[in-house]
Amino acid sequence: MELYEFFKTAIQSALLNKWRTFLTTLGIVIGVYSVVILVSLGEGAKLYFADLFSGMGSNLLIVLPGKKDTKGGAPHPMINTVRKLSLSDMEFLKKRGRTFETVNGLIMGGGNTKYSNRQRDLMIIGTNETFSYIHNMPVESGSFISAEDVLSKKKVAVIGHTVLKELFHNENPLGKQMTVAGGRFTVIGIMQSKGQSLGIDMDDIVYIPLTVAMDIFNQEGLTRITVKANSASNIDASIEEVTDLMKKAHSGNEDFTIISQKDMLSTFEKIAATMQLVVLGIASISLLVGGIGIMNIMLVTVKEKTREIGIRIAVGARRIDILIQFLIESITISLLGGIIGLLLGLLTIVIFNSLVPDFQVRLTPWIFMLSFGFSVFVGVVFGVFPARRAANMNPIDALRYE
Amino acid sequence: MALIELKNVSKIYHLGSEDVIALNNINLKIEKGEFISIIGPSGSGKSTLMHILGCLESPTKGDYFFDGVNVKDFGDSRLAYMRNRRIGFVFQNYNLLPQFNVLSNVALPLLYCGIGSKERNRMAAEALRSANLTHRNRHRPGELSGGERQRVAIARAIVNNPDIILADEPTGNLDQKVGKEIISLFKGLNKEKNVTVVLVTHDLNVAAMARRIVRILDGEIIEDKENNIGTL
Ligand SMILES: Nc1ncnc2c1ncn2[C@@H]1O[C@H](COP(=O)(O)OP(=O)(O)OP(=O)(O)O)[C@@H](O)[C@H]1O
Ligand SMILES: [Mg+2]
Repeated sequence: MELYEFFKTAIQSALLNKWRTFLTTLGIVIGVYSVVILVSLGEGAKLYFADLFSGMGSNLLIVLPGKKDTKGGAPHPMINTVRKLSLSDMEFLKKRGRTFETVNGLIMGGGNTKYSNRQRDLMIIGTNETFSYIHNMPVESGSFISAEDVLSKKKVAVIGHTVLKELFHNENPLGKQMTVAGGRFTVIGIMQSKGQSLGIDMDDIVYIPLTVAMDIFNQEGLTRITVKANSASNIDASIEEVTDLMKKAHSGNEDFTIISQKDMLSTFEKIAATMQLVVLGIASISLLVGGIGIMNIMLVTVKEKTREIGIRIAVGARRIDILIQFLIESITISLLGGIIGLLLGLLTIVIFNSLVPDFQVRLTPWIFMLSFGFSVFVGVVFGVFPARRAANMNPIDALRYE
Repeated sequence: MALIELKNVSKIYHLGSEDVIALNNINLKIEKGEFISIIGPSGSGKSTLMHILGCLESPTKGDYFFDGVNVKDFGDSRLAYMRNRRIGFVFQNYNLLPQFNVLSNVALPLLYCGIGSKERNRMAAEALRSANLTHRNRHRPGELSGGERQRVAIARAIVNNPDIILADEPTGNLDQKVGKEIISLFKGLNKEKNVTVVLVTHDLNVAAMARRIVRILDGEIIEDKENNIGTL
């Protein structure tokens, strides 16, 4: 009997009990659906974070106040009882560093800004002249904060595109006066648009000189110091040197944390690996349940078709023909579930992607192979037992079966 | 050489501790082209004999030669081949697949010998014509009368041009008139296509039509006689 005939028979049989077939496939539908969604989410997240971290730059080191033993994450702000990162730490690194070229200090806060009769609450970043270079964020027009501005605590501001649009309604802001956290600032530059990152609008920011920000926020400590190493390949040497210098500056205490892109990536990879295990767990449980459902129905089907099996054997079917017939029937049911699950998954992803444009769930080609493989596998594994039962029937007993 | 030869064939069923001897030391030769009727009381072993002849069961003891080859040594696929190509079985209760139409039912054996669907349908239609059943090809068995169903079953039995038709009480569920038509159908097939026919029947009038009558009692052949007044 040809394969095509087997499938035809299987589909006819599946259609004979539409509801039963449909309900039986549900387990597989849910299993494949969850695999498709979770794997695609994982792939999307991988890409998203890889993007994010590569944007950070592979030769950047971030020094944060406070010590955290596990690498990778930022320390909890509440345990920040240790020595803060100071301007002199930054100057010390700048003066003594050999394996890195630039140092940037940064302080972050929020505040109210005003221009003419409009106002807006947004993020205020105090930083020095190296920021634009280190993060590869040039100004579109005007100029960025200069070393002189920082030194003399000049009240100048550089604004992002969202600020330009919302606060200035796109009129030329250069040279205009705006209010930032109560003080009057002269706008000297507009940043190039950067878009969203981690859900934050990178264009909805006002940059002011670091020293001015420290005064405004009444802070002695920097939120972080960023170091740009001479080379990405020798980042470990830079980590060592920064650690060394910072310890010296902090009288021997390692009360700070250094994060590199590598650390963040490895942390993320750990999370991704754990997630994949969870996916595997969910998938195997639902596929197991789905498979048992199929086996159950196939046993019923075999029983119902006892007479048919007897007839087929009587007219010349070999046992292997009977075995394959029922195996293909279980594979067909399972595959049907797999296809429905896959389509539902694709639909969900398409809808999700159009609703949340910032985070694109990624469809990998192998998800198709995976769903297909899973369904066939389940169909075979859980179909073998009923199919063998059918194939081993005694034809005479089968023909007598009422 | 005889088409079929049974040598000392016994069939014993084990029911718990009890042994049921369904066939006891049967010796039987059937030549090609013969028309034989088998008679005997209920439980005498007629169906058991037919099942062994039809390669649906194997003997407990003894040898079964088909065309000179001992079927006893055959594995599953060679037995399947015998049932498919060389033997056509007709049952009392038709044994058709209710979800298939008449044409598909008749074509069923052809599925198992790798014939394409067009040719299958052609052969099935031809077999149905030989069985004198036309214009019913697209019907389901449930829509047919008993006599028509048995014609479908006979068409299925002859679709692969077997050497022998084994019919186990084919008229048992039919009234006399229709039963007669079915018997004359077998008669025609035997005459025109030289198909060997073995017919189990309770109806002595039917049995008397055969040229050879085999009488079975308690699993043994008690009589195997020429019937010169037989028309078959
Ligand atoms: N599978 C089986 N297990 C046990 N005993 C069986 C089995 N099949 C048949 N028998 C026994 O073998 C004997 C012969 O049965 P068989 O069906 O061949 O009789 P039969 O001549 O065809 O009867 P009938 O005219 O009623 O159809 C009976 O006693 C029956 O009970
Ligand atoms: Mg019987």
